[in-house]
Amino acid sequence: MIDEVYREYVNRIVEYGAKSEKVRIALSRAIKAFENNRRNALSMFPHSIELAKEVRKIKEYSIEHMDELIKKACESIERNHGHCYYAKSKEEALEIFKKLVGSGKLIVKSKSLTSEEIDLRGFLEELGNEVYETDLGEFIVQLMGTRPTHILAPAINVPREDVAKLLSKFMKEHGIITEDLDERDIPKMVETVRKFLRDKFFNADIGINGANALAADTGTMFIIENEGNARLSIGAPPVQIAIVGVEKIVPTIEDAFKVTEVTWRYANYTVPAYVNLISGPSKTGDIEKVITYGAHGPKELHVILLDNGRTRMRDSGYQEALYCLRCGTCLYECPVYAVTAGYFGQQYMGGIGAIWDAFTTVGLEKASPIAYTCVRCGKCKVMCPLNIDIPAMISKLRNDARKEGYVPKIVRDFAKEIEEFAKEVQ
Amino acid sequence: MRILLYGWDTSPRLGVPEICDASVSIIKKMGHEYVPHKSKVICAEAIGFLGYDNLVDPLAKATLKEVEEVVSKEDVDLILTSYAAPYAAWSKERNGFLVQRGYELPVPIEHMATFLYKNLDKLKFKELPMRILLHDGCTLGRKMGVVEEPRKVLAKIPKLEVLNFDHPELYVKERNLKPWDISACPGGWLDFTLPELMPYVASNVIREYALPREVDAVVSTCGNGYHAFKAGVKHGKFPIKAMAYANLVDMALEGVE
Repeated sequence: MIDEVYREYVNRIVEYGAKSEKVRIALSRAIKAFENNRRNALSMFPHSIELAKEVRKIKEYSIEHMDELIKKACESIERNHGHCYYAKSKEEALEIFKKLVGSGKLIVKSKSLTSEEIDLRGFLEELGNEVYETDLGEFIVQLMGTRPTHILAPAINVPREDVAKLLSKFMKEHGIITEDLDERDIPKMVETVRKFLRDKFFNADIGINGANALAADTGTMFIIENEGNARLSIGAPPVQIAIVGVEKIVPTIEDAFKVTEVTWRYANYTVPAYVNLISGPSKTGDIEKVITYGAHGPKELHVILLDNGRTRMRDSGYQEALYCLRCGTCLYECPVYAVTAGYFGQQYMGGIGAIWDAFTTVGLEKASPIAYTCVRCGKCKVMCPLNIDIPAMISKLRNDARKEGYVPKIVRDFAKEIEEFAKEVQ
Repeated sequence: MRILLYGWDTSPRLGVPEICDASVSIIKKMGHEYVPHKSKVICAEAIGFLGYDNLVDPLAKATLKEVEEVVSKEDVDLILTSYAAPYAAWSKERNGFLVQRGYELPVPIEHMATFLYKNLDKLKFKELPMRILLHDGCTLGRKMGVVEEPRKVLAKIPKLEVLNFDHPELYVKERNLKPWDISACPGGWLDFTLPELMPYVASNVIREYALPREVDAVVSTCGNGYHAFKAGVKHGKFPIKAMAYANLVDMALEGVE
């Protein structure tokens, strides 16, 4: 079985990733921009380098005390008149969504890797809902019928020429434009998507979001964004549902500020256009101090805290993977990712993605080829704000894969040769 | 001095027998004798990286036994390798991985870069009018900290211009990073896991980092790295050379004083 999994994976990563000049060119452009922007961001705000060390300690504490922080965060959310749910698995999370959403709804969604982890959009569409990704990259990916290939820039592998073609076809069909978009005119492409999504935001029944951090003491979610789509999908619909991985919970609101600042800084931003802080549903007390929910924002806030293998990941010795801020740096810096994009991965991507995929999405067998794609060069570790030791975890994951019989044949054969040599000499 | 060349079997297997040729040539020019060691070069730590921690000790014991026999039979004074992994595993001087586990080779082991550096005063070089980009092997450079040694040797070669890999992060002074802290890995380890991908990874590293610098060659202190760069140059049909550190030094080395 592993050999079949490996063959399918190798075919995918080589044929669709490595052999694609489009992927390489798009990534080359994006990586250069990212690296230069990050240099500028860190040079302008050099305190971020020390702050990152503090954030590592915050994450170490948070992951170690994850169970009590889940409880505390839930209590805070409920205290703020939100509704908090704990989902141990993907199935439990989807069941909660099913009960909350039902069918026949118009839903706007902001970018959330955690929602990708549980295939949320597909699930909601199958229930008979109309769902729109509102982050531009995610929207492009949705129209393409593919999946995100970078955690921050989902359509990073798609060059502007392809985006122009894709949007031209879709927007003409929906009466937004009458003529094809010029592949050089990126602002026009952006404007067209804005025009299309505008009334979706205001007519939506439900808005769905993820979070970059969640403060346990106040129940406050922090959501970093640049487009403004998250605040519209959070603010305009009458119902807001958040899906947050339990590893995002930190003890205090001050900790959450630190986590988000380091995240955006290392994600190459001096400062993002928006940082949304949401602690509860919209409310007003302007008439005789009578608190009434659902003033201009959502009347209801539901927060689903997702475990889905995270506790197991921690307890199996991969706790460092849970420190990940999802700044995307390790991907931008990875020499393999630079030619293969998200094909180096399953749901998650890159070396750290192998660990996440093993525990939260496809399981160890399908994650094994990803682990064997990592060259363990350690560039990711040097560039990671939290200095996460991905190469060490990759070695550990390979050893775990070997114990389960999930090593690809090429490596198995080599190991057999070594084993025979050892026996022969001894 | 009689020198055991460790990695003799691996270079041809990787398609880079020229590393053996260059190593032999250097040893001869320095007036030493060589003994080829036809065995598995992969070190016991590396097999652990591949997911076989259970083979680390059996391989270490077997390698040690085999080396002890050759050293005794051939009256070897020193073990020399162009590969970083065995040096990192066995070097007593660097408190290698296997040394920490209680294993000890009967004679010292040197990497080609450290060996040449220790003999630097005696080495005589001819002019080599080339501009090269130096790749520090991940294990040798970042892990073992062998970064000054290869540079000091190359600095002694007249007319050779040595450039380091560049990266925007090096200009964030508070990060205090050196060029060798940031890997420029061409994917040499893919040889053992996913060889189909290696030429693509390597050619992209060359395209992004070497071509804009207009160098004549990319030179790697890592045997696997060199193999990958060689595959990358071929794959990309680039007008530059890939060279192993030993090959570059051999081109310039005239002998010893």
